[in-house]
Amino acid sequence: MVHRLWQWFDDRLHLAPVRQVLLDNLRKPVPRHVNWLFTLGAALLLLLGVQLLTGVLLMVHYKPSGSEAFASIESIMYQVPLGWLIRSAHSWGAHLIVLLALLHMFRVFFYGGFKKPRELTWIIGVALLAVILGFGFTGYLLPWDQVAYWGTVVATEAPASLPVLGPITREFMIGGKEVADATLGRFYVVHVFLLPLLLLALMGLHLFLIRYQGISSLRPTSEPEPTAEQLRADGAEPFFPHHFLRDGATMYVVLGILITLALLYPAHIGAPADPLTTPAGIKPEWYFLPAYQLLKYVPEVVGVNVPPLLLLVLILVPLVIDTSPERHPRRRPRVVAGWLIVSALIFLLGGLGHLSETTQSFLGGTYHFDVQGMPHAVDTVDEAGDNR
Amino acid sequence: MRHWLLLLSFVLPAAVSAQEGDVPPGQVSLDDVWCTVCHFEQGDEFALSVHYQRGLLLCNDCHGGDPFEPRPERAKAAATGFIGKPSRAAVAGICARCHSGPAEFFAMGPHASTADPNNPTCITCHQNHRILDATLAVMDTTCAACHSDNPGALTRAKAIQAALRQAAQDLHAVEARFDSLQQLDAGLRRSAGLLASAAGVLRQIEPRTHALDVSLIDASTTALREELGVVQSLLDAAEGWRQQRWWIVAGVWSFVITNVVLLWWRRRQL
Repeated sequence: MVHRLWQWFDDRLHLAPVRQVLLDNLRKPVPRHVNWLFTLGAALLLLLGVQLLTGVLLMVHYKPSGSEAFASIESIMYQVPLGWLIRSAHSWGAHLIVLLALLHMFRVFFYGGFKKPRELTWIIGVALLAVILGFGFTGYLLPWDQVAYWGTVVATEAPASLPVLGPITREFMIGGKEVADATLGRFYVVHVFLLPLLLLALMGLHLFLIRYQGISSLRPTSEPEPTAEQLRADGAEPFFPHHFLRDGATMYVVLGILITLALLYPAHIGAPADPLTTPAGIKPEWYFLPAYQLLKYVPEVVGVNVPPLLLLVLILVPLVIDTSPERHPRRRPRVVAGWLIVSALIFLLGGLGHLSETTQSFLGGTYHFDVQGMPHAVDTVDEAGDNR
Repeated sequence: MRHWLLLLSFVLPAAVSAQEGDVPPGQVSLDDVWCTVCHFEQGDEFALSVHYQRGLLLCNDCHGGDPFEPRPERAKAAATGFIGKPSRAAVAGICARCHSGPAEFFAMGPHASTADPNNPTCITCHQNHRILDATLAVMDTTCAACHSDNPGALTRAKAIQAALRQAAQDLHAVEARFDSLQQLDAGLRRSAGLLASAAGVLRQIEPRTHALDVSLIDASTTALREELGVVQSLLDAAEGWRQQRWWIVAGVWSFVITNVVLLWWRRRQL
């Protein structure tokens, strides 16, 4: 049946040469060093597919207006059959995508996969990361509960501190002076239309370049790229079906993790947004915590510019920062050390952001972490009322 | 004489306020209440009452008069609605202005008739000026004050106390279970209204204590238990659903592992 269908199309469109090109590309050998870490991209592809599917299903019931958004989310959670599971999968999928995108980027960096001639693939990858973060930023507001509303108020106030264009930028972002109905409308359109379009275009280009150029070897860029024959002679396996089966296994595991999280820890919904009552302890999603915490240590105008600058630095990695011909991480220790130090600092800022304005108990003591994330020992009172 | 009174009026409120301590939020300082110049003992007691501490009432709310008028003849003028010390017959009516529920059930109880001088009024049990928060503990001492030789009355009081305490305990137990499960299952938030309704039922039962009718309390606590039973069944369902989810997770991972093994086996065959 499939063969007859293919024959029908081939008779009319002469698809055999196209098929051959596709098969040749899919069967390109992957270098021998390619391991499980090289399956993160496929897992991301799967998750983006899940987001697209769950997102479309959520759109069926979601109502993007200040008066209806919260109620529609409640309806999705409590009335729509399996609505809670779809929303939870969408919410956890967003977290997993950011996590896997960062891990994928780390893998490409350490294996020198961004080096000539694959700079463009890396730059598009950075753009994809920005789009993913944009999804997180705009999607955060859509439930229209207190945390979503006030988190967005705080996040959109930061750009307003920029000189000259700051206030105009903020007004353009939120569609007025305050976060309101207009903001929800804008964020919704960006979240469900503009960003998906951009994502699909960039992802298509990213995947095309990966297939077209093949997976990078560990040889220095000063040496010619190994040909397919050389790779095969070196014992390399074809991408399809060998590496594809490995991708498939990772995709199954990631799907298992996603469903487990969605089943056991369903997405939360707080109190409806109230522009007149600011709740305590408003924090952004975990991936924005480093930027949030940085704003507490440096002047706002500096702190606001650092995250976009960091994306610019990422773009400059293959063009300016690491232009040596070496790919192996051991042969470019300075750049790798710099990357690790910056990553550790970002991780530290995120950790401080998470702990700030909370009270935690560990090592037998209780500590209150102030706004800056500094711990202060807290006296606990036992039942007899004695201070300890 | 008036000058001396005026001078005294500056000194005495200051002395009273030293005993009263801080002025509760939203409440007027008793330094500014002229009644306490003469009725300072009542003022001292009133300063400790729940009515003053919660910023609810001042002297005139029960006695009429103008508490901010320094001249007694004007403070107690007829136009101010001054009634002085309320009669026994008037007490329940005055309390009922705010506490209509207890007054309604008090009128149904054995103490309702004010014509019988042996019957208590509201202030016999709850005190007049130093009115404390109304709790079941009030019954511990007040019932026995008159009925020490009437074991039947004391037994009824104990039965009412026990039924209400049990109802409160049942409610708190369900509330605690609800809180712990709600953190794990956001869907339970829908049941919060049912729990609030059960808490409302308990609040409606409390005034019924004044009817001193054990069967009335029993019927009311049965209604509460029925409301709590509905919430309990939802909590049971949530707990059951949580366990079912673990089974679904086990199924999902069986599927994942089977497929990973199959893919790996297929890869080994290549």
